Amino acid sequence: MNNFQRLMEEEERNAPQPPPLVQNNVAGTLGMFRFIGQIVEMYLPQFSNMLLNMVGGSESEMPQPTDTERRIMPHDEPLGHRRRPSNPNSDNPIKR
Amino acid sequence: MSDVEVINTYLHSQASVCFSLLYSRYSTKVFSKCLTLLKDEALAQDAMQEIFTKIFLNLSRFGGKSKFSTWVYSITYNFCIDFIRKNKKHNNLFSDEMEKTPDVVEEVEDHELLAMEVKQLKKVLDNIPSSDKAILLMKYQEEMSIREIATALDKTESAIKMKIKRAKAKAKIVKNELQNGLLVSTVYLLIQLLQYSFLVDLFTPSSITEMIN
Repeated sequence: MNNFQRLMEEEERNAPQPPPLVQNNVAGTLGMFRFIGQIVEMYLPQFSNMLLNMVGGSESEMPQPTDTERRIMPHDEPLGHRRRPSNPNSDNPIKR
Repeated sequence: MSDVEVINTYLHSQASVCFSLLYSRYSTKVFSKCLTLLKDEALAQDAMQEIFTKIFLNLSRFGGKSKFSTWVYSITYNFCIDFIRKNKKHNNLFSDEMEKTPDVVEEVEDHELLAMEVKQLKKVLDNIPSSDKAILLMKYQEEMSIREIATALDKTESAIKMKIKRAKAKAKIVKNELQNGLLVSTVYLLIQLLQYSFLVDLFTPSSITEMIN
């Protein structure tokens, strides 16, 4: 242990204890941030829908995936109902 | 439980027990460091509150690359240095710090600082600027590497090396000044004692009798 560390020990021994108010304040601040985060998480989707409705749109008007996109994203469909390519010789960009 | 285990538990469950455990482990040390740098209990309490809020809000960013204590103390020193700098701007534009910094920085060996007595070291550290004090404490008290200090203070490693060099030079100047001051006051005291003893000899009953005769 060097002299700097001995000085640190001495200062820690002589320093007063921090008041419990500090711990309470920190806990309170963290709790407030947690509460705000929960509120945002709960209401953000509804808030975004509200904004959409105000602008004049609706969820049903959101663009639907095209046939090509559906083929590329087969995981969107239930298992056992995967689409096969209509023509094996079709111009599939993935197939070489 | 180790610090890392407590942190992981806290991040998963936000359990207040984990918060209390981490707080109790580091509150005294953080408070002591704030008091050392800020030299005011009320300011140290405010700083401590801000520091712990920052620690717990950024706990997910602790990557575990260094010890948790190193990370905590980095935040502590960084906060205190920033606080002092902000206050300095308001208080005095012209300080005599530049007068103490020599144009050519003398290379001071580590053993010159490490050989000092604890009381002497405390006086020296109290008489150098807080930013220099902080960097010496990070280097010699927390035994942080140059890289860790550079990361903590968001500076380059070469800048940190130069800061440490300057801080050591200032500490040596203050140490010499304190020693010279002690020497001067000791000599003065000796002179006073000699004069007093001379006067005592002059006015002892036997000497007075001789004078009368």
